[in-house]
Amino acid sequence: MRPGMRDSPPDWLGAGMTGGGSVPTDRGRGRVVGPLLAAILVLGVIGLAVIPRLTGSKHSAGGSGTPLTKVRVLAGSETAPYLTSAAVTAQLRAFGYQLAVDTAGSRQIVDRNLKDYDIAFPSNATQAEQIQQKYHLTRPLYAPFSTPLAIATFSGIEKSLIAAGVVHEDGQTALFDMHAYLDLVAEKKRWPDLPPNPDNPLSQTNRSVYITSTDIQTSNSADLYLALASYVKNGDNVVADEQTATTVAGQLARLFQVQGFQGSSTEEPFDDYLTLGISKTPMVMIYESQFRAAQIAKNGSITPDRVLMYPTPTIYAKHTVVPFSAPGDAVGRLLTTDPALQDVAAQYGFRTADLARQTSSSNHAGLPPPPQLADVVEPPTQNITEKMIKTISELPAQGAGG
Amino acid sequence: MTARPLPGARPRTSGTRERAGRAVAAAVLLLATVLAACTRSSSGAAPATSSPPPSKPGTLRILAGSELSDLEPLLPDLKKATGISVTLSHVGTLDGADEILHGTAGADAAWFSSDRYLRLLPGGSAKELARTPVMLSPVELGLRTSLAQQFGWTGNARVTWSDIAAKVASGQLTYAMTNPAASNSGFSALVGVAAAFAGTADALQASDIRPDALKSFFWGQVLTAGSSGWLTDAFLKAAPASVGAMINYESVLLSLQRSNTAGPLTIIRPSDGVITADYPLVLLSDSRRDEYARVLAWLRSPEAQRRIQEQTSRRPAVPGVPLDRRFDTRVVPELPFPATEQVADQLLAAYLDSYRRPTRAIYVLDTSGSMEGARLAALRQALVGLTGADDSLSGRFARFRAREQVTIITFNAKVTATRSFTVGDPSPGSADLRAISDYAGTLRAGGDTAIYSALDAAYDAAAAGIRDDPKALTSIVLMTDGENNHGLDSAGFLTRYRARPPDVRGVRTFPVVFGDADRAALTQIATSTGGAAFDATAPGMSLSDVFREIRGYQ
Repeated sequence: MRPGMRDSPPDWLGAGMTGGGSVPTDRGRGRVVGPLLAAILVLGVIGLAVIPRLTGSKHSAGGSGTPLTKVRVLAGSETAPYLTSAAVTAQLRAFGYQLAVDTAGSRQIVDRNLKDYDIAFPSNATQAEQIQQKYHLTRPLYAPFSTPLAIATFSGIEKSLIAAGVVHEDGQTALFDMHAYLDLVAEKKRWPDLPPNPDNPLSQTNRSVYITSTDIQTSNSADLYLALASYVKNGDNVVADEQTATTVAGQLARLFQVQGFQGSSTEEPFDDYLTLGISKTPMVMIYESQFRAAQIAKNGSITPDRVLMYPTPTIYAKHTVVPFSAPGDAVGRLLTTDPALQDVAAQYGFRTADLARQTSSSNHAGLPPPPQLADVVEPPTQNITEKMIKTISELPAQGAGG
Repeated sequence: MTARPLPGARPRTSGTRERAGRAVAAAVLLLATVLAACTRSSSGAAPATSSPPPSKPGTLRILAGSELSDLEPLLPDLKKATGISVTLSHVGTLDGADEILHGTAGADAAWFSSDRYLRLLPGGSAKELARTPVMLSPVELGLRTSLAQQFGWTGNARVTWSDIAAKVASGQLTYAMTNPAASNSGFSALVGVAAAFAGTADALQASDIRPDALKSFFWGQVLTAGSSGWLTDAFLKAAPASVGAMINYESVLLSLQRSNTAGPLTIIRPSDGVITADYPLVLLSDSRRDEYARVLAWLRSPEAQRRIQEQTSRRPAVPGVPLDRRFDTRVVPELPFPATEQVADQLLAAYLDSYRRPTRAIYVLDTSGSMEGARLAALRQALVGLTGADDSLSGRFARFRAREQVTIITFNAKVTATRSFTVGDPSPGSADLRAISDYAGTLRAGGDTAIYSALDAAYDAAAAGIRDDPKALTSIVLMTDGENNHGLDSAGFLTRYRARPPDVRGVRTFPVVFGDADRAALTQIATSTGGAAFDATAPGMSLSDVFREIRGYQ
């Protein structure tokens, strides 16, 4: 396929391609077409250019006299803890780089003035491409790691959902059927409408069944949720035209309107999940990396009653480095290829190209490795996404309806 | 003390203050605060509004809600551990949001019980460079245990907001709650109750609002205030029979339970849902990211979280720090906050114009000779501001509202005029509001100062009003710029005041210190009538600011 592609494609990417079965065919010219190809492009570049640098890196670690090259990064909030961690800082220092990290919502990154940055690091390939086009950049993009959307919940809630036929367990993995869920939402089902379950305290309340998310106007995870839901609502097809976008968005508005006030970054509802818990966020749409990072950190936040469910189909956030300068390019390459940096990424819960890293970080933490996900979809184009967001935002909210 | 007994006197206070125990009577606190305010201003302390302290590395200047003052004992240890000096400048929630929106806060960070309202405002979210919750406290009902027993609500009974409303409707329950337009605890209660009555634990939409149920519920609110702390003090002072419960933060209710200052109290956590304040620390200044991160890391450390729980009765915001036994751990749904400013504002306006009890505001205004010139102009402006001219965030909700009776008593050596206005149409520029602003324009100054005689006349007017409509909430604002030199003296007024019937005695007076007013005398009036004195001479404060702030208490 490509010269220099010596590594075999990572398993999870391959699984996504083979199992999804419905990757869109009408993607815009010049777009990265899918996770597989994206990885191939990056790995191709790396294969040719980076290996010598890597082998030389061990010697440069002691160069205390060399001034560090400062690399300014504007990153989505999800990657900031990783980028600013002591381990990443130390490892990059050994290569002569020091990061200065600012954060913004991935959707805001596109609109920021990026001229002073060496790297933009949105959590979505679509936005990375947008930036690349807007600034007429020719350097390659790097996708050092990614993470799928997942739903954090509680065992009592999971039990209700199993009884309602929304969730089924596949080995140790809880799979959340998006089709069945969207039907529940369309029927305005409340927790007491589901089969009786003494372990679900929400059975006694008036609360509708819905997943808490972030604000679609500001946050990437909410956009991915919308992308996923629109795919399912559109008969398992990526929404590709404006007419369909308007129709489908209208059908999905309730997913977001029922929530009321929403946070602007994915940290917020996940924080609520960890602290206010089932009272506020019985189900929360997050990145798998957030949950796994908390598990691996063993900080006591993931109590035994907390469960991670995987939507089927699911969708990946592909954290993508957009380099603006030579140092930005070098750091992007290091983040993608340096084994130590990739190890740290795995500890922060991200999926890296080499599946062995996830397995080893999981083993260290006494966790099962992240499941391979077969059914993965792609987001629509940015224009279609914007159209759906605009439609939902402009729709008058529907009341509880008595 | 979390109370804010003299809000106007210290719009901003900084650093660690000598703290009085909750058990101390509010009257003593009032006086102490006046004196403290005098000391501060005479020592040349500049207010944050006119000249904020310089921002320098190693410091974090935080614009904070008044209730956050109970964290000041932690600040020395925070400095010891992080090397960072934190100063808290206190301001009301809406005023704070106004300053943050307009970039006039003069602070590196903000810390209020909630930032939800700020974030509903256009441009509000963009001012927040980062936000992280520090602690949690839901808004709940503290019920006198004698009533709880009578209702059968003891022993962790399942009680809903509708159950509470039913007790209000049957005349068995009245309660204290802050003004939702001035304080987050009241706002949370309003949003929560509206959602609960809509029969949903989902986000409230305009079409879900049930006006009749809300009217019935808020009929029970007989005591209001602009801050949760002052409300607590007023609840402590009130005769138990006059107000049976208080809606406030769980932290306030648990502290009262612990100190037993309000007598036995049963905390009701309505099973159909609550709204929890999450006290986010919000970064405003890009150049203080490092300080912000370090302060936050310390505040969220298990040790600090345990101390916050122990000392302030707020719940930890960090998983892994266990709740102590005082906290109810039953699951009740967290009611969502409205998604739009429109729904929130609509609810607030409806509360003020139609749900709450109608109000009767009596203004006793000094128009003696010393008011001539700039002072009279300031008085006119302050009144006109309440008729819709003030378009600030807090100003919008401080306007005179529908069903409100506004009585303006002017005095010099005697009462010179008494004029009453009834507001039917509360929209800015309405004929009803214009009548008040036009009248303000006709005020003239001249003559001596008979404060107590005029105040006595105001209580006569209050008595007449209560006879006409005993259900309206009546309060008096007394503004003077000088000392009493005519008519009744203090003792004469108090003798007559104490001889009045209980419902008239229950009318609180909120004196405003202006010009060369006698602080001690005005403080005594506040203390004797259960009101609070406000200082319009405090640095950075105008008469308009004070008149607007008092609206939260009327």
